[in-house]
Amino acid sequence: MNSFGRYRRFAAAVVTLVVLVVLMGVTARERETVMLLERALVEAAAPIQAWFEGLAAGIRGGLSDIRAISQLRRENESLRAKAEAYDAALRRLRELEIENERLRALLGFSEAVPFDYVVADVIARNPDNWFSRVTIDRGSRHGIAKDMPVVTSQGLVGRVVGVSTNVSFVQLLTDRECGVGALVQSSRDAGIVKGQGSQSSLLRMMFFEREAEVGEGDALVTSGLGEIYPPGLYIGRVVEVTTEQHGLIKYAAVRPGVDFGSLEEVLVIVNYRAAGEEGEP
Amino acid sequence: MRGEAVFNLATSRHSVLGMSVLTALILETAVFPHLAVHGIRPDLVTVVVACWGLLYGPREGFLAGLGAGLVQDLLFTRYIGLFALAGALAGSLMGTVETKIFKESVWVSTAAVGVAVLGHEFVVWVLLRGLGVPAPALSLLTVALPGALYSTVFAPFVYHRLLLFRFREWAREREMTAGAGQVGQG
Repeated sequence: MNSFGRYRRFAAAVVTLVVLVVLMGVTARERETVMLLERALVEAAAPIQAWFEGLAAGIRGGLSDIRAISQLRRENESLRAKAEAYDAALRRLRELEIENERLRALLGFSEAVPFDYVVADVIARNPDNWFSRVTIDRGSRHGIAKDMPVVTSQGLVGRVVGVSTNVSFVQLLTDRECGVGALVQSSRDAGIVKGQGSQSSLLRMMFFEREAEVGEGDALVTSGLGEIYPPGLYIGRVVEVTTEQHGLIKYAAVRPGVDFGSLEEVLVIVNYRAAGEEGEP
Repeated sequence: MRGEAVFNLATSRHSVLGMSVLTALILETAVFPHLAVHGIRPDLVTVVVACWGLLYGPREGFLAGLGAGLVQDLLFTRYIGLFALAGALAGSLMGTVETKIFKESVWVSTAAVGVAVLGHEFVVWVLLRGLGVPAPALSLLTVALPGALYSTVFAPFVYHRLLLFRFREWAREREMTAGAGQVGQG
């Protein structure tokens, strides 16, 4: 190849790299919707991803079923005993609920707005080791919008960060860029829970107060201060409390309630902000 | 006639690349998350790109990395261009050593692919720092290095498959050259 041709190819490569850097800078900003090209690719790939995720989940389920048979017998017996105890507790709770309703009415408290959920299946996980995101099979057509909180029965999962017509992206709590306002359930001390990347199963809470009362085993819930997550959603439990070298900031290592490795189905809260806005004066 | 054969060769080559990248992406997104070791998963797409660069040279490596990375960015990443840039660099890096290493040896090539994946992870780390994503220097040891090592485990299988394809291509190229020589003589 002559030197002119070589120079031209090198120049084209450099221009391409520069364009990519610019594109990265532009897309680094928070975006309300995904780009047209992203949308087309994501929508086309979604059925294939869903099929493979279903296949992987089927294989995983089959293997764990085989392993679980002997365990299930033992668990069945202990669960029967627990169920009887729960029945008794449930009857008592029902009584308390009725009492609570009566007292609320007496004091004029408004009823808390119940959340509306959209159930979604996880169809793909991001392929790299740097981000923690999953793709779900529900999008704007199903009422999903950016920044909606995502939960499971185990607790908070994360929030919606990108929405296409039939598919959305969820940033998990373990993502490096994720931060959630949180409270220690017992002491009400506040802080921010941050993800540490998918290679760490623990989250990290940084407390606003150095004297925060927190100990191993304490439950953490969302504070609702960031306005994305409703207050009171379970995040996880403290496994270790540390103080920074100079003693200025207190941290806690937190084991999340959700098992992000086996996430298959999630619930998207679709009316939290709408409900909040209605309540505003 | 010969032009048509060359076109067919290039088409089949790019179909193989497309299928390899697609298969790698599907495995990475649906299967490998369940094979994660301490949250670390293999990066099969970069392995494919690095092998491709090693077998076809810097231009093909660059384009393979650019294309595969761009698809990954558009499908999964907020920062479009992040993995495209890292992939293009890793692919072209491998392409530049194409003529310098004994690429018929799967083990020599595996080591080279391992270095390319590590280089790819390093570029991603640098770009993340530039974008303001919290990625401390320690993550080079806790994410980039184990990720590259885990990915390298898959490199011999990927490289072997692609090398066989490349051998077939060489044979066909030689047949075509010989055929063209005979036509010329006739």
